[in-house]
This record gives sequence, structure tokens and C-alpha cells, in this order.
Amino acid sequence: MPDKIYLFLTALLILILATHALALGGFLSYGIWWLDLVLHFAGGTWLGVFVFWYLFRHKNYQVGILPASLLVVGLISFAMFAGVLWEFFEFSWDYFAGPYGAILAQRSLQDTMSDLLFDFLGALVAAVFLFALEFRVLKRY
Amino acid sequence: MPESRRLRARLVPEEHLDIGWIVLILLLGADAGGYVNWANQHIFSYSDKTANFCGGFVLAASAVRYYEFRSKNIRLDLVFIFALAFASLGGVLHELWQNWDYVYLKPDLLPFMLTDTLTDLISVLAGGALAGLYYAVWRPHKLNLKQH
Repeated sequence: MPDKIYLFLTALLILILATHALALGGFLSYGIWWLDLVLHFAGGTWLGVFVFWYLFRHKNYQVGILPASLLVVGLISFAMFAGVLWEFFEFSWDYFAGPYGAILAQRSLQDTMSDLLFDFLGALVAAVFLFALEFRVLKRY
Repeated sequence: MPESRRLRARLVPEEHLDIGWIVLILLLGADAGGYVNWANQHIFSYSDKTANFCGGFVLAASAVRYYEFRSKNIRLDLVFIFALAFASLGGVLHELWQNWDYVYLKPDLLPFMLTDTLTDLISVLAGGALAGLYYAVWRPHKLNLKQH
């Protein structure tokens, strides 16, 4: 049976993709100013949890091989790396598909910066939560 | 030591880390000079990208070196991705701070700053990638990791 983290990742990914698709399709609207922020926060959380799952559940590294501070900073760093790549993708989308009438992904610098900030905050919440969870588990043994 | 490793050791000496720090400090000085009009910022526009590159390199290399003596059991491809990830975090935090600054101090420049911000991040990532390659490909023995 898949573990709880895997189920959480699957459910959150479906929720993010469905909301994003609905927003792009016009059923919801990115005119709701906070929707983009919520999705980036959820995306940051998903990335932080995904990296944790990949390293310590899928690849079976022992959590103890990392110092606690590095666990938190490392998870946030991986999430930010993916967040930056996403912003590069959005910029490329606007650059190549924008002239053909595609919906622009990056509206302004403020939009990009708030995307990255909420990626960061989402990853921070995930990292602190996972750190607390694992630290409690480690302390028990 | 095999010939190829000796050659690489000659091409990429350990002192390059120190050189990275020195170049970074010089460029930050030039950047600060541009801010207070001691220097023409147009002349130093390339210094901005180079400073970002050096910043990414130094940050990632320092993080990997810090990691070196904490654990000996990690794959080298993960070391490379770790370096990129650390550089990303540093780059994003720097850009958040810098652009916050622009919102209040130089709002007229904001429309031009998106491309600048993204090229800054590309430079930082390139620096992090170089640091990752340095330790994961050219000088993995420096980390004394258990090889997989």
C-alpha cells in the first residue's frame, strides 16, 4: 500500500493541475488575484514534500545522513530550483508563443517575484513540518 | 594518481575557490560603486552578471564543502543537483531583496527588470552548475565520499 506521503503528493498534484487547468480554461479565473499565489504556495509545498519522498522513501536514504539544518535548507533549495526553472519556462512560453496570441504567463516583474516568494513560503512550511515529523520519529529511537 | 586526474588538478586548482571569493568581492564593490554613482553602471552591466555567476559558484561550492564533512554517503549526481539547488535558493533570495529595493527606490526601472532578474538567475545557476561539476565530476576525491 502506498505510504501517506505518496497519497498526499498525488492528491495535491491533481488539485493543483485541475485548478490550473480550470483557471486557464476560463472556468475559474486568474482574475482572482490570490489564486496564483495559492497555487504557487501549494506548488512549493508539493516540491518540498516530493523531494523528501524521493530521497527518503523512494531512494531509501536514511534521514540521519543529513544534519537537521541541511534537511530544511536542502528541501527549500530543491523547491526553489524547480520554481526558478518554472519561471524560465513561463518566460520562454511568453517569448515564443506570446506573439501567436497565447495567454501570457508572466504579467510583470512583481508577478514573478510574488510567484517565487510563495514558492519559498510553501517549501518552508513543508520543510519545517517534515523536519518536525522526522525529528520526533528519530528522537523516539 | 592517473594522468587525466593530474591534468585536471592542474587545470582547476583548489585556489579557484579563493579566486571566486576575491572576484565576487571586487565585483560587489564595483556594483556598490555604481549604486552611489562613483562608477557608471552601464560600464559595469556585465559585472552584474559576473557577480551573480561568482555568487552562485561561491555559494554552491561553500555549501558542498560544508556538506563534505557531515556525510560521506551520497551519490555524486545528487551533489551536482545540491549545488544547483543551493545556488537557486541564494539567487532567489537575493532577487527578492533586490527587486523589493527597486519597487521603492527605482520604480521607473521596473518594466525593464524582469529580463534582468531572469538573466541574473541564469548566471547564478550557471555558477552553481560549475561548482557542482567541479566537485561531482572534476574533483570528487575532494569530498571523500563513498563512491556508488
